[in-house]
Amino acid sequence: MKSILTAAAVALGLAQPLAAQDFPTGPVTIIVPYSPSGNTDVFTRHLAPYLEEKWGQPIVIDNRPGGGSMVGTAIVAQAEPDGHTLLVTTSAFVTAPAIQTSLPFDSREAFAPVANVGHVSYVLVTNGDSGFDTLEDFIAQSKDAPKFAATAGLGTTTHFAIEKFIADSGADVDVVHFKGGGPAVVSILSKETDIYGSSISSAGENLKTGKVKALAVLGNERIDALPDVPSTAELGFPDLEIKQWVGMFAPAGTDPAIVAKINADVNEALQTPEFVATVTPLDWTLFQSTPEGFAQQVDEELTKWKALAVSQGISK
Amino acid sequence: MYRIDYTDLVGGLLLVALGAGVSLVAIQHYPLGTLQRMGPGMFPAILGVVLGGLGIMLALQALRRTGKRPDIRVFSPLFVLAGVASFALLITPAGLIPAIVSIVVISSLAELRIRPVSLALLCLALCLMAPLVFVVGLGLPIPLIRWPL
Amino acid sequence: MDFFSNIGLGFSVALSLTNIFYCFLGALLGTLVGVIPGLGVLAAISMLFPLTFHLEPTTALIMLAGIWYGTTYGGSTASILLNLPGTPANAVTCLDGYPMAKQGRGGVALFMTTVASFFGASFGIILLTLFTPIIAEYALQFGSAEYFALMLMGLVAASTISEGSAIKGLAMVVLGIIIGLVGMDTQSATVRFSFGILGLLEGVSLIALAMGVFGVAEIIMSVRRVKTADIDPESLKLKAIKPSRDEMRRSWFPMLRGSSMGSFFGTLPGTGPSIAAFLSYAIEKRISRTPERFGKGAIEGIMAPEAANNAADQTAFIPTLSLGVPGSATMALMLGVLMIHGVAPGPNLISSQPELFWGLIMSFWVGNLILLLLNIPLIGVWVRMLTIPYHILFPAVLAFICIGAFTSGFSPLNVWMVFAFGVLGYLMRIFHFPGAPLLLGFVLGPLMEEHFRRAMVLSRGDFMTFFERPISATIMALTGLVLIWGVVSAERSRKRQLLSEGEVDHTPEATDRPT
Repeated sequence: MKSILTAAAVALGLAQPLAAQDFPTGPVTIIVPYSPSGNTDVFTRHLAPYLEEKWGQPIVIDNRPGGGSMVGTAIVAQAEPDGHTLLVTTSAFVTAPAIQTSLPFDSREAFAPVANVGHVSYVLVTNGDSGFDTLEDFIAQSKDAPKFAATAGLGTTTHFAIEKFIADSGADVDVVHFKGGGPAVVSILSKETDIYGSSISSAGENLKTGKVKALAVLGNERIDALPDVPSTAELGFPDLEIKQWVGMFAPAGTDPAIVAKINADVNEALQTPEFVATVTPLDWTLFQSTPEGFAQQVDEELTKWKALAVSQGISK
Repeated sequence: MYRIDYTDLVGGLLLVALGAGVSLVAIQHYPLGTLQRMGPGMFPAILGVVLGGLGIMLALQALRRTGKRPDIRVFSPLFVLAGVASFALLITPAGLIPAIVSIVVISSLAELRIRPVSLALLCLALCLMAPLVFVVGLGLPIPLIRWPL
Repeated sequence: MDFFSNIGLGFSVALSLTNIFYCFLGALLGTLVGVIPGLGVLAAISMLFPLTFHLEPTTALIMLAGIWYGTTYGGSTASILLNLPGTPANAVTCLDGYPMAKQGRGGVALFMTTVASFFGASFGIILLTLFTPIIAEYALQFGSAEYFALMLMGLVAASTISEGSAIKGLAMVVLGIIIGLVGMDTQSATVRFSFGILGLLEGVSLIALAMGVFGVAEIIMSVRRVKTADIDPESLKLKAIKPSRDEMRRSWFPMLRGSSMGSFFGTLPGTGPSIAAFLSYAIEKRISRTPERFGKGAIEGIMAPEAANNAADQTAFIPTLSLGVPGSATMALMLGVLMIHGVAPGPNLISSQPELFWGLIMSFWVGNLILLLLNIPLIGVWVRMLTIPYHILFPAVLAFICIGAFTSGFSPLNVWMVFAFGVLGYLMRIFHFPGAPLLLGFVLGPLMEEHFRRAMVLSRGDFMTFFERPISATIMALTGLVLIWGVVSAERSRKRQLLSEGEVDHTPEATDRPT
């Protein structure tokens, strides 16, 4: 479904043959397939004013949560490919299709990737009083008595991060799904589960007070927020470079010149010092990306996660 | 008065049909799993059976007692529901005002008499009030009117 | 400790002019959102969320919280006067509130629910003030097994919530659970009963269900039957809202029990005011010596749920603020306000942001007082609404229901759901199936399934998990007791009925019954 106002503009013939330099000719709707106030939503709401100023058109942020982000994603897949309806979503874009097999769109065919705007890192966390202090401990103990891992939901990036960790480390872990990051953190706090791949903001203050402790950062490098916590690469798992990225997509068929223009404008916004200052406390690493590079990354990740889902037996 | 309670008999049989349908769909389309590791089909399959069972109990009881004539109306549901449907059809393509007018006009036909003056006044009042409450007051992004494509 | 200085600090924040203004604004909007059937608190708060970018976080939270608890105050109005719930949490208030209105005691009912709301809210705020950290710890003891046990107890306790046949009540609970299963299964990503409609991935909307089954069906049944409610002009006068001494006396304990139930369910993430209201009604009916009065305008039947849902509204802030874990989508929005302003919710919040924490909590007193002062004069206005001829009232209400349904998700799909559930609700009226158990099953069912399956994974398939974990075992034992109690009291009332039927058999009318 299209934005109300965009539709009106189209109806009045305003949005007919569209040159990239004229873009946008009307209000732009950005669909966020998550509830207001989530990480992605907050990021988008911070980004929108920069684009509004640049484009001289209002931006409507439309939250369409549900189906592990796939409801809002499908809406954009079916939208008019004129650049006036965009999607800002997370890496669930590439993980969820590995599990949800009956989606009404093809993730590769239905979208034109625009920009990869940034990512947040995952930290493997456990209860402050759990019987292990390092990831080695955890893996070793799990082989004596199997452990439980929490996820923020089936098909989320947290789920795939844990599955990949299990596949690479050989730890004996059963996966338990929760509805969102909040309940997953509670299950760690209450010791119902033993490990969770959390973003820094999900674990939040609980990390600082020691109710939750970090075992490792998923990825090749340590992160600034937790300088003392080793990366999984240091611990001998080089393939666990898994981040929750946020990216912008347009419907397939959007004029490549418009895609390039949006990409350039987004990149410009991401470089402004004010923007960097607003999102840095939320632990974001920002990127300068090209549509081509992002498209390639999306394509590779779709293949990679599908293969993991099949080998771990979580895909139907 | 009827010799048996037809209302509950039919109601019970409807429950049986519904329960059977739910169980069949669940068993055919969704993996059942085991009780320990329940699949997505297990819970609905059980519920369907329970619903059917309750339906049978209801129908059996109905055979053993007298019943009253059920209270079935034709025009009220017809017009009220048609009003709701017209709202659903019009709200996206035409906007808020046409949707309000159509739901008010169509549903008020359920009265089976037309009061043109009070109807027009009601439409007018609602078309002023609704945008004020929802669009101005709560800032909801609903278009008031949109020219059909 | 410096408890009093904290309270003082809180009031100094809450009583600033700006904060009082936004608190008032929130309470007013909340009342409005609550009174209008179909418009949900989540939709309203989502819409106002972007506004909070420009406000101080404390002020923003005070306003959003005002909407949140104000909605529950206002929600009972339509339940009582029109038999359609303003919000799902007020659905159970219809059961006894509407009969009261029909008896010309609508003013009393509105006044008493306002009192109950204030009482419940105060109870919740006091708990919030004194015990937040302790309660948060305690809520962590509830794992999936405990949740399942709790939900099971809820369903067993509530199976007799409505009048009439127990079989019909149970059947509607089951049907409610089945409707609750629509959408994507969280444990396997299988999409169930969605008929290929994409919007149904996230399941059926609770508001659409409540509005269809209660609202649209009620309108269908009332058209051409209700003219203007034949109200005694005396009942419109302000003194008519005064409850009788007997009603006052019978209200205390239901309010207390309702507040306790509400406070308990409010603190548990994932449950909330709706469940609390339903269960406190069920409890009142269970323990009443005269359960036959329920459903016919028993004051206990409105006091307990209205105290419960308001208490739950307040204590819902406990896990949200102290653990950083939102108990519902609305609470997640509140957390979002904090995160936008760079405040991390969590166990440190109370010490690191005392102005925010205590200011917010003390603003609840301000807000509830405003609501009390706002709602009592409004009673006269609302009761007068009954003098509007029904042929004018019902199309207007119907329009508001549809607009409200549309605003939750801005999709005509939700209006179509109201349509579908209107059909269902009408069928249920024809066959005399009660609506309240359907709604309860819908709310509890998906939680039950989710927690049962998760508990099974966590226990590695051992059913004993429900009986080995102490809290779960206690709840299970209580469930057993409730069940036995139910059978015994059913038996007793059956005997009583047989006795009275024996008397009836002597009347001429009954002699032509088939044997």
